[in-house]
Amino acid sequence: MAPGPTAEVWYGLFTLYTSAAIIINAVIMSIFVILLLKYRASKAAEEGGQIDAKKLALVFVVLSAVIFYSLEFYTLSAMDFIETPPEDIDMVIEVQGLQWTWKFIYPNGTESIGTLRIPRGTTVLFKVVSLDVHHKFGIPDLKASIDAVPGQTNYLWVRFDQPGEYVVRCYELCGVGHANMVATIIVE
Amino acid sequence: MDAYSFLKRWLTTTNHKDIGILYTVTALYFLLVGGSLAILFRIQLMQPLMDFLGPFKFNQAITLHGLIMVLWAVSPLAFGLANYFIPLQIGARDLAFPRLNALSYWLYLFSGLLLISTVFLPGGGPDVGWTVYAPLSTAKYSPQPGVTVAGLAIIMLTASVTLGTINFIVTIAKMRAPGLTWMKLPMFTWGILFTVVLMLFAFPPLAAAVLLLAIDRLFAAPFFSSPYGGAILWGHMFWFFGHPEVYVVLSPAFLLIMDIVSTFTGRELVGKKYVIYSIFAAVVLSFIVYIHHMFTTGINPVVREIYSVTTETISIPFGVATLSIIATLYKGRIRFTTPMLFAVGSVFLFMVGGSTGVYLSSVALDHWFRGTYWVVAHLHYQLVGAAFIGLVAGLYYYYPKITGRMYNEKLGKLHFALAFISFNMLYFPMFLLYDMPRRIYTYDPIPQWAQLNMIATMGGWLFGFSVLIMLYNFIVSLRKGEPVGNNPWDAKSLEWTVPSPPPEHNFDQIPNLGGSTLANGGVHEAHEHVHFETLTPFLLSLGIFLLFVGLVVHISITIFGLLIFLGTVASWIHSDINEKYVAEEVELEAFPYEGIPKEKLGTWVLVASETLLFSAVIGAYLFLRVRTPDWPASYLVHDVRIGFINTVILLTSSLAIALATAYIKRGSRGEALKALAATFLLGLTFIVIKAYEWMELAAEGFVLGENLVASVYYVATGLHAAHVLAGLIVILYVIVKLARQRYSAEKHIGIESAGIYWHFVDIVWLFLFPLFYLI
Repeated sequence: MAPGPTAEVWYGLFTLYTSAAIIINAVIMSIFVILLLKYRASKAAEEGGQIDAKKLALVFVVLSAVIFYSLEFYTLSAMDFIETPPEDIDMVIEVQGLQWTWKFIYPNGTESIGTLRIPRGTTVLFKVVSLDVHHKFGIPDLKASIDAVPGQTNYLWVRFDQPGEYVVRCYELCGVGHANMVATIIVE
Repeated sequence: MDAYSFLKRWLTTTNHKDIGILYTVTALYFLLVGGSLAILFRIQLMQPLMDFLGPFKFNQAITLHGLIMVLWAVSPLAFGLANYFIPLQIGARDLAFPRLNALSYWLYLFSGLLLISTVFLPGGGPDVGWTVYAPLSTAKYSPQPGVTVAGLAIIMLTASVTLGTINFIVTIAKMRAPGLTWMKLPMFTWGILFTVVLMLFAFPPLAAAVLLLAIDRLFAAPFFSSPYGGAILWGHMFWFFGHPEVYVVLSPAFLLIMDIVSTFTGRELVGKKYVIYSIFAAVVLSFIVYIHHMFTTGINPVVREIYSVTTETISIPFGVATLSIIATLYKGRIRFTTPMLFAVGSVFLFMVGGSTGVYLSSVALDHWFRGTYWVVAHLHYQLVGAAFIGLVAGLYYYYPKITGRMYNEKLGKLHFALAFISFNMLYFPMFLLYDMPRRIYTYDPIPQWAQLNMIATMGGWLFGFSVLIMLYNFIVSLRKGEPVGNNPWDAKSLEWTVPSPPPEHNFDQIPNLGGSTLANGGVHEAHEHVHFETLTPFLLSLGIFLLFVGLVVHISITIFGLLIFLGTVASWIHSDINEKYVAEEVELEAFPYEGIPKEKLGTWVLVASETLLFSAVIGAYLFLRVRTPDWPASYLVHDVRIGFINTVILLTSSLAIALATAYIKRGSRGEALKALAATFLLGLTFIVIKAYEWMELAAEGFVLGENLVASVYYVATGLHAAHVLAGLIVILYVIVKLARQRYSAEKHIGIESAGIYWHFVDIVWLFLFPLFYLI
């Protein structure tokens, strides 16, 4: 079971893209390899015959447009889900990125550096800001992530369905401490 | 050859083949530098909690690696081949402006040396990532001078690139052999043409961004350190350059591969016309996809949806091109030589890189992938797998043509096998590391991360070793390789009709391609190619290099550099006024090409590039102004009357230079001289009034760095004033030439070009006046 709904949707889309990529590449690469083997100069040459480039290009454009735009359709609905916070937000947490740690501010104003404790099943809205440079707030297990940009507030919603410890990392180079800009979310 | 004549030859050459070799060797040198840096930081990442480089050196290593590889290594490697082969492929004796070409090379070399030298500065080299994200890159968070010097190096490189774009566009447009129509051009020539057009539009905004960053750092002018969108502004300005830059790096290699595949299958590229249309579509699209680099910064969802769709769309033309390469194999007679193996290998890697790029175009997936190793893997499949390996195919393909000897085929194939396997060892594990952040110097002992990183590091060592095999092969084969004839590959384009290596003048007789793909010996007048040598481009670039180095080392070096710079500019102008090189340049363009002369076309291309520079600065101004609360209306800050008077002065000066052009066309030199003098005096008046206005403002405390309003004003009007000054120097130059009777009713291209430039500078003011005085 996925640790949260955002991870579920993200992995669903990832699987869809991966299946499409594998199938399409398998087909084209096989044709590629077969042609390479079949028309080696050491073998007898086959005469005549020219591929109708216009028809080929047309078929490909139409086919790939259909594939890409259907993938895009799923992307847009996934984007809508990931980016639109549900109506019933249980808790709003302010997240401040600063060189080189994460500071969490609970709804009651309590501040905590590097650790956040929340009950299981809570729908949380993170208000993400930066106090200095550009950071990116990311929770790998939930596949949830948003930039922390100085001078503006970005929003990210998540729900932790499984108890445990979740790591938070910074995903935008922010100086010498970038690698150590780690925090923990403890779901109880 | 003794040391003196060796140095003299290489320092003073303006021959496109010599410059091509210089570019190629220099690019390979920068590749080794960038590659060694990669080896170092791959050791640091080999195991969790490794203690080898530490965060300071690690960040410098990745930053320099990125900058060097993208800007100073892969793309210039393509330009090495382009310098050597574009004139040969189009049946010309040289590029349109050989001296500018030499200048372009020396600026490139010295800008790269300037970048590398930053590691010796106190505080070390730039450590902010090759994307130089603000506000990390501003003085508050990265005070070390290395970041500023790296910016100066980028500006110097932009000058080199701009000269290169002008040269290649004019050359390809104007100097093709008779009968060589656009559709008959080899794909490599098309690849370079697409690349220079992309560069023309992409590099000026980069120069503008870096200029603003440098002023931000040096004068505390709060552009990117502005809390009102400074960070996002950098993102826009950088990625407007950054995305097209990907195609700048990719397209020469990708299109060169098509020529190679066509040669080694013995078949025409299937659907060449459609491939050209497709790549053209991709070039246009590349400017409207860049927001996908900023999907997670909080930009409006509708904008992101649009850019997500355009980004998925850009895969289609590249798919068409890939398919055309594969279709060309059908019923061919495929010869698996080393260049063919590398070409085919690069297409495979391009397909993997392309597919994984589609993931990044999806806003929802990119939410996670941005900033992870998935991006690192994808971009290296494109820039190393498709672009660099494609260019390696090109190096093997053209080695016999350049040296007259064949490389060792067995070593070549060994190189391919090792490179292909180690490449995938190096980069494929990075896809699986899609939870690992980019640019971290250390990581916790997570078993899966440790294994994948170890495989990648070992792949990196092997890949680096494979490049050494190639260099060994090339060096040894210089002496030991079998001599080859004109056309060892049985290829079809023009460069294979001349001896290997080609003679200095390329063609005894310029080929005529009316009706056939190969030169059919149609004779145009044969001309002696006069070789001319000059040290000026080298000295000019050295002067700029010393000038910049001195800024952070010692002011005396700056003064010395400035003296060299001014001296060489004066000597350049002097030799031009005396028309020292004119005979040769006329010689080069011997055909009755109709339409615009190449100097005029060159001026227009320059104007296009300058337009982009000013658009970027004006765009930045509007972006900041809209976002910053309480921005005062311009007419409250500035004296509208002064602005109005200056507008009238500039418009009058435009009229005056238009008159000068009209007079000289009628042959009345005296009248033209008067009109030019009037233009010069009006321009000078504009500058004097401007200086007075600035002094008045400064007296009120309205100075650069004081606040955002003042800083934007001084940068925009200062950049314009610098262009007016440059225009004045040009006008002074044509005045002197005119006074020496160098222009006539038939020959007046200098005055016309000066006129085009002057009108452009005036038009820019017509935008600045309302933006900075009225609203």
